Amino acid sequence: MNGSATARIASNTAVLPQQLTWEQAIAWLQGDDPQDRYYAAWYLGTIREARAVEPLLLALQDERDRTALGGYPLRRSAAKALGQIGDVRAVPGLIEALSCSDLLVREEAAYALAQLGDRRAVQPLLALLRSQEEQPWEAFIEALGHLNATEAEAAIRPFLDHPSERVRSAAAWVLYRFTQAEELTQILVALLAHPNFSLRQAALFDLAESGWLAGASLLATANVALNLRLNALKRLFDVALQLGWVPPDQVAAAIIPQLDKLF
Amino acid sequence: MSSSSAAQGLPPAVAQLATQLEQATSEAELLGVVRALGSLGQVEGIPLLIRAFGFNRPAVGEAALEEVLRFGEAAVQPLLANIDGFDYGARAYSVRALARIGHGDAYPFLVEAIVADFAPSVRRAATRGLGRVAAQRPLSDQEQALQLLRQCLGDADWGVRYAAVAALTDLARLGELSLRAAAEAALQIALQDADPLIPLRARLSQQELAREA
Repeated sequence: MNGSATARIASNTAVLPQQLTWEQAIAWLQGDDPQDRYYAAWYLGTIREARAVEPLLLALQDERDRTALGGYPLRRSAAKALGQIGDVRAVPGLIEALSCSDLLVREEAAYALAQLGDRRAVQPLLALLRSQEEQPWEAFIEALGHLNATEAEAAIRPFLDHPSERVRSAAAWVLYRFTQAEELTQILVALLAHPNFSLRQAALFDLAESGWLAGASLLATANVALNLRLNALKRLFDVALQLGWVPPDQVAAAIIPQLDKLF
Repeated sequence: MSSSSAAQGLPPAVAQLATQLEQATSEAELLGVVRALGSLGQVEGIPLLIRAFGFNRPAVGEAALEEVLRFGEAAVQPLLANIDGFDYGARAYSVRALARIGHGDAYPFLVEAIVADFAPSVRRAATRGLGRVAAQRPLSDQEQALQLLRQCLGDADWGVRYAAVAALTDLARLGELSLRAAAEAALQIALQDADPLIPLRARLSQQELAREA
């Protein structure tokens, strides 16, 4: 495609979100139009409106919005919004949602509980990890990782052999955070070179979450879109700083040369 | 550059690679053509390498970037003439190339990209290059660049702020001596950034500049 000497910059064609007041958003959430309710849940989470916590907790038990297969779309978006708002009043309701018949609701609830960082979620998640039924394993494992639930180590370990690559990768980064055992990084390194680009992408961010600083160069050179590599390196920096295994200057020494390559 | 014109009026070796580029189906084949275009070293091949920025294959894009950079300043006009206005991924590669080459002709384009492009990856790359490129320009442009980079230090995107630190370091090192103090003062601002990465990067820059002084 030929440009001229000055670039023709395409405008962002994404639809601009409709602005609502928080009262309007809550009214929509409690209204009858499924699209409006869904939008309102998203909106309230995006603006992190603490006054929406109670209405969203009600939406977490909604029975009106169902899919043909019996799923609960509004509950999923309510769970997500509650995680974004960051108010721990949502914790009991989200824990209850871990038992919802809709696995996607369980998944969203697990990630929301991870965001809220409240340890009340640990035992319920740990109990579910031992379940014989199908579960959103990746979400449960990662939530336990974000909650720093080291007591879950033994329960997570079997998932290193799970048939799903993403589940194995989740187990690997969480157990690496708990134990810093080098051999766990092999799983991440292998997935980072996978022929499937979305698995490579998942591995990229799992490696970042692990806090494994020596993996920084692999993030920079991974066969994954540039901005993802940059964001993953930044995430690894943030995680390594938070974990505090090495002093900030050493974290910087590992990350900055890799970042500089990408600009 | 439409594919029908891709092979017209090109030296035979380049025309052949143009055809192979169109017909390649695997990543390995694409990489082979990209490397061959680089080894060939003919400037008519540069637009083809720029096309490879837009294939949405990171390994191919990175290889194409390496090969474009081997051409150095000869790549500047082809890069400016072939910016992809629609694909921000491709555009970011072009901007990275211009930033690395550091030729003054890229200056107006980089300024506009920083100010007007919606894509963070493009703005990051443009910010990174502004110092090096402005250093080749008259003092008034360098002052404008300094001002713009100071603004970039307040950008919401960490990547733009990070790039601004590196660009200010370039400007301090390569630009007019009279601006050095102001560039270093701007690095001081970066030490106050709430994101720990930025002050760490700024401190490293200060140490580098002190060693070189």
